[in-house]
Amino acid sequence: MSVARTSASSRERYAALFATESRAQLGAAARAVASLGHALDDRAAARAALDEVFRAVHSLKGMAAAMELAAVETLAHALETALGRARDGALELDAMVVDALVAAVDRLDEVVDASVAGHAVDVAADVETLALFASGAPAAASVSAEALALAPLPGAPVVHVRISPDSALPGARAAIVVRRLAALGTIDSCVPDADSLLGPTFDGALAVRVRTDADRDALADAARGAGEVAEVRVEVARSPQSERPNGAPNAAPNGAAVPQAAKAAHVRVERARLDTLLDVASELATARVRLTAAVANLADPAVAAVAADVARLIGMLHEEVRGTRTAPAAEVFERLPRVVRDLARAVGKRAELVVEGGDVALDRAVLEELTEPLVHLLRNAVDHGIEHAEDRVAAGKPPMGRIVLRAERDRDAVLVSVRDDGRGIDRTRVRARAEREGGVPAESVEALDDQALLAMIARPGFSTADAVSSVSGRGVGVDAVRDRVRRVGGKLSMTTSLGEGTSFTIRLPLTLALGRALVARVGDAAFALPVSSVCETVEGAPAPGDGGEVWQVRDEMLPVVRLRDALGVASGPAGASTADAPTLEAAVIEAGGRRAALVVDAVDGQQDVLVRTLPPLRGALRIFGGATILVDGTPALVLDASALVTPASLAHSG
Amino acid sequence: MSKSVLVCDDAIFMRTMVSDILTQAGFEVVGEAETGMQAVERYAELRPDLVTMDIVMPDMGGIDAVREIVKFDPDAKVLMCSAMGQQALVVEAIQAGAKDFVVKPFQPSRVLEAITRVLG
Repeated sequence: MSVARTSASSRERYAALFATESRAQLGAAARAVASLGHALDDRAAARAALDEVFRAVHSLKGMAAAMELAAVETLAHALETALGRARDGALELDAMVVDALVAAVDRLDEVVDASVAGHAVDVAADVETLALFASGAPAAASVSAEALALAPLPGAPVVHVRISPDSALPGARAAIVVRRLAALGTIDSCVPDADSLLGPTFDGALAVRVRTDADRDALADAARGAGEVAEVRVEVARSPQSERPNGAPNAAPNGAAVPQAAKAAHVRVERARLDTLLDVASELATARVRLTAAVANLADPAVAAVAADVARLIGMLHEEVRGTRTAPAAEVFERLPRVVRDLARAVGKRAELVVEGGDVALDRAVLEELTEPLVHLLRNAVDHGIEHAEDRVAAGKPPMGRIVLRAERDRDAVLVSVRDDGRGIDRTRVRARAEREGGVPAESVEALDDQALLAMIARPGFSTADAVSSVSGRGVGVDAVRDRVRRVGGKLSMTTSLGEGTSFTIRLPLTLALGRALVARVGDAAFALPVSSVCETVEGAPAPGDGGEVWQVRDEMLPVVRLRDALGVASGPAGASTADAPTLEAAVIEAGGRRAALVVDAVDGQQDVLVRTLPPLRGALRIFGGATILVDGTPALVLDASALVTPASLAHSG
Repeated sequence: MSKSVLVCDDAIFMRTMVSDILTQAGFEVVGEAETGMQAVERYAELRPDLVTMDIVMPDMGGIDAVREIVKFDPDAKVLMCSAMGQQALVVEAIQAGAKDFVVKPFQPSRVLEAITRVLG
């Protein structure tokens, strides 16, 4: 008896059961299919994993049939057939087959979601691909790694296109695809980028994200119309606020299966409106700080009580609005393990990606911008970091390289790091190479610390690989990563240890951070220093040292940075900042493990400020990390401790 | 009524070959041009349904000619004719407004497919 013919109440009950249980089966299938990839060398483990996937998919198929979810049933059946052949040994399990199975389970997950939401899904292409695999004739190589990393967004589907392999000029064909899609909306991103389309590495796989109102079919038709297109797949954002499915009005044959709450829980809002809302909420948060200060002066308990309420509500409002602009890092991260696997396979290595901190929230815009640099860093890790399996074993490491992608909150910032357990960067070689290319500071290898090393490898066009490899040879190096990271106001740092691995860390400011700052003055101007970078404030006087002035704080001799010098302003009134003055005020600042005494005219105490980041600045102005408005309403620039403690600043000052 | 075509190439051989393919397929070759400049002038004069355009021509290349023609008529349908190894130029032409391309040596079926796409 099918669900459709039962009473409405039991239908709802079945629908709820299906929603929960299908999720559990899909989870089991996804875990088992992922473990299959690690178990290729272990026959018994592979068999167990295969059995588990088979079981989960089979039971999902049965449930889907009862719910009359034809698309789920059909796809599950095709997957089951392929799995059955693998189990019988008719289909030999290799990395490619495992990838296809992983992709099929992913797709099944999508199809279940869409079907449960009452959307019609066409699985014909998926079934065909699976049938090809099951018959032992694998389809063309899977979509390129970077293309996979491009995720659809609400209102911006991703069109995946494979140019026919017999196209004489695949890059030019791809350019036509892009142009035709551009006619339907605005191109948001394109992978590979326009330059790479022309390169020999372009393998015909293209992903284009288009901001558009056009539906799936219109996009697919436009792409196909470019000619010589072998395959088109349009991926829309999975969340319910995304595109309406094609044929929306009658696309809910299992209407009862749609959880009503989920339907009503989302509305689409233009991003620009959210931005405005966030701006207003941020201004309000600044005003709140001033209100609190003003009320404190009034000493009226009734006003103070209302003000406290208002302040609390404004704080909540600001948090909520900011929340609408954030998304969990997992939205980007969850696609990357597959990217690493594909990249590793392309260069004949073994590597896995472990993802940590996927629940850390990031600004959506920042997250989007981050995808490409992350893929570059992963590519570098696979290509330059992870060794070949035999070299790893010889070095006493497990054959499978391990890359950890991690997001974590660190006070007023989010850290995203990519750490590999590969060979590390060889300082001697980098230095030799940099010297050959000219313009290298005469530092000894020993003096070349990680940051200096990063500065070297981040020079445009610099590559430590002896031969240009198929993976990293696209002329996009660490410089491009650093530029992208800077564009979103972040900083790239690196640590490396020869033989043990390399770790790149991207430090991202929370777009708008309400934090405590120490206010310092030089002349009439006020400057804010985030308290996160201030250790203490001291009074005293600098003393002459070997490489410039030093300031003794307890047992430690700190290099001195005079803010006046760093700003390039003349010495102030006599007694305020000249070296012969008896007492000067300084803040001991710390960033990236370096400490310095920052000499200012006066330290004004701490207050809550709302920091707005500034676009990346050049030269001396890099010492500014943002701007803010102080409690008394005057604007102040926010100092960036990490720029102030660099050797360049210190040398300038000394 | 058959569709009108303007054939632009600096080599007589290529113009003849393209014209033959088109004529056999029922198109009417209404004009020819040997330079980019001529192509622009003849387009304005003839307003053909389709233009085939060589990339490398003396006195204004094919890409600049596409740019000029599209400026004059945003709906102009231009098909680029390219040799192997000119991919960057073809992409530039597409960005300039060309609708499609064919690669030499020409296979009549490919040329006609491309034309169908451009006119469709």
